[in-house]
Amino acid sequence: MTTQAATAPSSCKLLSRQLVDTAFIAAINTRYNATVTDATSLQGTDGLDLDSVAVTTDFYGLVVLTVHDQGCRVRHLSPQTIAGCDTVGDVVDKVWADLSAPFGT
Amino acid sequence: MGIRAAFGCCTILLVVTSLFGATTDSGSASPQAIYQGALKEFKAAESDCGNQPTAGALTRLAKAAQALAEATTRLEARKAAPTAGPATRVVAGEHPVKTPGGETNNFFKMLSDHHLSLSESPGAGERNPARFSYSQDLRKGTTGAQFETDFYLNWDLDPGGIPTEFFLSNQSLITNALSLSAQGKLSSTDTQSTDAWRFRFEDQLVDIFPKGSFVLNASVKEESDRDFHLERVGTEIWTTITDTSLFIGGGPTKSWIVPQWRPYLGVDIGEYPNSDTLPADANSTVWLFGRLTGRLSFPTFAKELGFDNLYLYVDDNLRYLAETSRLFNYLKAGFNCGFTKDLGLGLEYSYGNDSPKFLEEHMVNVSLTLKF
Repeated sequence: MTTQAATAPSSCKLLSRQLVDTAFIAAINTRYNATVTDATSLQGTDGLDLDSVAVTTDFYGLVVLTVHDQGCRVRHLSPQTIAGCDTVGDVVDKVWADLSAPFGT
Repeated sequence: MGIRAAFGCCTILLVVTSLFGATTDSGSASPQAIYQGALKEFKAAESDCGNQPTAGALTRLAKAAQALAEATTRLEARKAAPTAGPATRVVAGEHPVKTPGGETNNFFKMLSDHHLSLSESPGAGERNPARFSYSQDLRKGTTGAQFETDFYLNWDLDPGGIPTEFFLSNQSLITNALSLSAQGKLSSTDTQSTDAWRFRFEDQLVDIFPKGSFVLNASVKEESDRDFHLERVGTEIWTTITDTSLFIGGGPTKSWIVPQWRPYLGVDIGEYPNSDTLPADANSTVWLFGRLTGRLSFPTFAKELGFDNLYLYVDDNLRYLAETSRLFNYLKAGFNCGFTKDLGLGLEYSYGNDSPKFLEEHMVNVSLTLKF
């Protein structure tokens, strides 16, 4: 088995919050067979209803993979950061803040 | 031992003070309100600049323009309409900013922002809340009343980044996360039997694949009775999977009853440095364990009654002690009624033999429940 460390972004396509939002909503809908908006809750029974293990592992992995698929890479986004988000919109905000933060921070 | 006792006291103090934390619902401004505020400020700054274009006025205008741009972006994002495919399950879109009783609790949010989380036990998928209970020991009849707490406080050690991240393919990813935790199961009486402390240094590895994920949690653990007379030092490894198409770990549903469950398998290897007070059949280096947690939520019923959540749950732990060939089962089942996302009331029944001593327990309790 060959493991390959993720490389630094060379052609990141997530250049605005709107693009992050669009990419995430598409990825979430596909993975969880759902139709979500920014206001959909992650753990509420009126939302995705994910348990805490799923949020910090499965959903967190989806976030990292989606960012990676768009040619970008998260820098300071941990599973606990995602666990602190109530809604899909909160996750998009955190990811956009991470991607748009100045280098070296 | 002094350090452990101090850490234990600090943990209890934190847990107790969190109970008395602020319970005001702060809510948050809507994107529309933020946009209106930004627009107002921009117009005022523009007017100032037109009247007298000083350096200060220009700086104010630049800041106002930036704030307006951000507010506009946020507003547009909120207005973006979802596209529903015919085969997809529709998720209730609007999660209210404010729910009855308040969902955005400042104090709990602050603790959460400091990378602390509180629940009843580690790895419990549904993260049942910590419990502060009035209990009745059913073995002792009318003399078995006591106060009891059951909590698991976890501190994320790597909030600022991802220590390792390997892409095995385009759709497979391994990440890990380090944390320290303290678990307490303490009662006001009978401290020599069923009480326990568990301190862990944990690492959680996750492999994500297209429709699910595999979790491996490894920890160095010290387990003891309440007064640290009996200690067990070792390592614990458990695994679980997430597949929302099978309701393992959740998944969106639109029904009156929402099921959710999670299986675990694991091994616990450890030694008792001093096992004088340990029952002979409980003295084993290797424990193999299986665990099954399940939950049935009633979201519609909860909403109609004005609660945040209502659910029934079960958490069954099965431990096989390899050297003594003993099998111990420990079952907890109950009902929880959440006033808010964080606070609630619960009724729990527990029966069986829990570590480290594996003495029989048969309890029922009424609890104030709390998680963040």
